[in-house]
Amino acid sequence: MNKKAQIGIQETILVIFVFFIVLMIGMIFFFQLNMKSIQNDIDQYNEFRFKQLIDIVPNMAELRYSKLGVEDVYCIDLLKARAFSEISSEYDFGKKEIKLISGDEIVLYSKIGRGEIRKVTSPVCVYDPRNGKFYLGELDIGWWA
Amino acid sequence: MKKAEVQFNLIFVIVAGVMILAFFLFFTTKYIDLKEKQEAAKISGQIDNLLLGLKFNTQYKELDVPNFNLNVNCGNITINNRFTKDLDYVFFATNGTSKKLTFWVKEVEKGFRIDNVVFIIDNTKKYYSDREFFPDFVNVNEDYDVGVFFNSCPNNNKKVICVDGNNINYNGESFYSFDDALIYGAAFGNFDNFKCSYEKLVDKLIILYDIYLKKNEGFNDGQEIRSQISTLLSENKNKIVNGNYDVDNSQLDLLNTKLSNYELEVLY
Repeated sequence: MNKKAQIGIQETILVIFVFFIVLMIGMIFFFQLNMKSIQNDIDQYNEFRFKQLIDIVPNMAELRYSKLGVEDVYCIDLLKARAFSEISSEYDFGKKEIKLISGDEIVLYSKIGRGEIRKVTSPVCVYDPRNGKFYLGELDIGWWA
Repeated sequence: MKKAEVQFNLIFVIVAGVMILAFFLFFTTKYIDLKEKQEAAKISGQIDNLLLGLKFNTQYKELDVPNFNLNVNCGNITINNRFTKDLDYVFFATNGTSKKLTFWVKEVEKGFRIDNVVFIIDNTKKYYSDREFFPDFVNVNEDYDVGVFFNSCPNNNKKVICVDGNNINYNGESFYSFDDALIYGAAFGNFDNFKCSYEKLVDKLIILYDIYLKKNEGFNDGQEIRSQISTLLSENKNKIVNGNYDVDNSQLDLLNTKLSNYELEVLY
């Protein structure tokens, strides 16, 4: 083989090698972008699940007001909420803090996490069975991601 | 070209080729894995959306998805062996591959509501009962995969649930049925899932007795009736704690109605 041909082969190998290196970098970049997009989806999904709690919590049998077994009013029973706050350690909602603010503040559930806390608040109907009155309360849910 | 140079080129090409091939194999595997995970997460999101609309009512909805594999554990489900999803509610489901699932939410109560449970029904399976039992949206067929029997108890190699009075006989074990929902739970859930969800419901019932006891203590009126209620609540709770699930809340219901008749605030 003459020298020119040798150089030609070596050049081809080098070009192919460089081409594959560039391709690999491109693929890694593409993979990272995909990972980021999936991570965003996962974050959104977790956020959605967290916000779902705003609907789930007032509907729990442990909290919801009922009259003669009928739950036709979408309200939290204040006495049930106080009772629940005393035994909620038996539940596992993850690292969250759930508070009901209605006159005074009732910590329904608390498992403190570390780092930044995200919060979602919603107005909620509260019923006090001792005087038979309905109030407007606030349900606060904090989440450590 | 010198022999040494040829050898070097050859080794270089082989090493570089293997590296590039390994990279592509690794990348392809990872990418497939990622896509499968994404698909499973998508199905999981669909399930969440579906349940969000269902949970306040006792109704059903169907989920049509590409054929996917469902693995059921105590508090979570795993989709396509890729994505594990914790479920915040008591549910009854079974392992398997399906492309048609029906989600049905039903209330479990014992005088007062205990919970709304979710049944994840694989409608590619055939269900049968010797009396009118399954709702219309369940695939009922005499050549069944899962049978629920109230009058007799056939002995075959199919999944058979036998109901004798208030007892559900499933897999050689007997469970007290305090609501029909538990019979559905046995039909739609695999044994481990049923046992786990059953225990969760019992735990919830105990918690609810505690909550109603504490709530009852918060009133100052109707002390005579309320003290009877407290006694009954404690008795029933203790029975359940001691493993006797055959509790009767009808006396409690009567006292609760009595409160209403005296225009006092009811307990539940």
